[in-house]
Amino acid sequence: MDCRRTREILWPPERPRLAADDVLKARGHVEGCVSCREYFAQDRLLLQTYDSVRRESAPRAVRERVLDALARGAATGAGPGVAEARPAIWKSPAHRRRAATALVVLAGLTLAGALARRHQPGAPDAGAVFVEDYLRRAVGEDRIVASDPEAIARFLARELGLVRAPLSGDGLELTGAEICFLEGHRGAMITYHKAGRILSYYVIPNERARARPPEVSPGALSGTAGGSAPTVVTWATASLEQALVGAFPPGELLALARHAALD
Amino acid sequence: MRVIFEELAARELDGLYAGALFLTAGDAGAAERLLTSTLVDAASVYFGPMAARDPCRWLDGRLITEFLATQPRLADGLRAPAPLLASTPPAPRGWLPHMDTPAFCRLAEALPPVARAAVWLVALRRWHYDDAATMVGVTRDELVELLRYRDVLLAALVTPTAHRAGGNVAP
Repeated sequence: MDCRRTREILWPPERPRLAADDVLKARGHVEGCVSCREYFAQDRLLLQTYDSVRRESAPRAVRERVLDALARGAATGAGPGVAEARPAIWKSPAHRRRAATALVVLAGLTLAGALARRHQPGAPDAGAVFVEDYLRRAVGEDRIVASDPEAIARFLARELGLVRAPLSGDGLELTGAEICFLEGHRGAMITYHKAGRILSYYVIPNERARARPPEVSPGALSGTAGGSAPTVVTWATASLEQALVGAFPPGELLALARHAALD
Repeated sequence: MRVIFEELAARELDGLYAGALFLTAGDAGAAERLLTSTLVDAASVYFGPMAARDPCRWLDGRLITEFLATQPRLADGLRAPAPLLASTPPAPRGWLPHMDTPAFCRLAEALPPVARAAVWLVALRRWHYDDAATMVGVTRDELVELLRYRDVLLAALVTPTAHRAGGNVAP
């Protein structure tokens, strides 16, 4: 049993293995070989060094760009490469208008969020993450169509373990639901039509959510009826973050949210 | 519970980015492009059986495949070892400096690209030799030769240059 064969048999050393003859011989070799003992000691040190490196987070800007590229790639069904995705997004005038509006709103909300944080140290900008997902879907084509509230409820139970009926109200037409993923948490976006506009209702299970009443996200205070800027209302019940996002007057969404918060 | 690809990508992104940085020897722009193309391509084949068995390992393999597709011919890396390894000092004993991700990954510049792939898969991601050889596209014997570059990486870790790049000073 030479050093090379020993190292191959015992690789990787931390993995459990049956004490077969070759394993026992290899271990015997290590016990009597300074070079092999040093090899595996160096291996542990190198792995420790890399593990500490690997635990570092990728820069936030990199993470956002990569996930955004992934979302665009999924929306257009682009295969190899990323550059091909962009032309397909801009093919429709309606897509272009919505995307342009969305980008302006996102920039405004990001700035508003930063300003709000300056005045309220530690206060999380809950609205921005919902708008980011809303905007991504505004140029996407990934939807599940379902108008039956019981079907949506079963979907939530199956996918999220969430026992909850979808939001209901006058003029709200349920159109579907889909899984979303925000800030590391898996949730669902339930979509409605109301007066010809799209309303998105987000439910994000989060064990660290603390109950708070509905409030309009600071960056969306300028949203008005008939305007193109989406309004964002966020609130939370125990273990459940929720949000309403859509081009509706803030008062209208607040009323809906307060009604939902009572459930 | 079914895991959607975006959830998997978001969860594994930090580790994959570290891997991409290592493979590109600390070139942040190249690492981001490598990571992006890997994930966008992988999304279209996510529902295959290999992804279902071990999605994290599957993503590691996709990263390597994407990286090697952009690299020079394999034979160039295999021809290099002897002179380089002959001049490599003995690997360090007992202590390695802690350093941040970019500093660590820049050390990989001392390794030919195909050797970076082999060392990353085996020494850092703990793949078995046979699986790593298949992924890199070499024989088992060729892989063992490439893994000698582990010593080059170890030696680079304890050089004064590594310390200036952000590592701690040896006691």
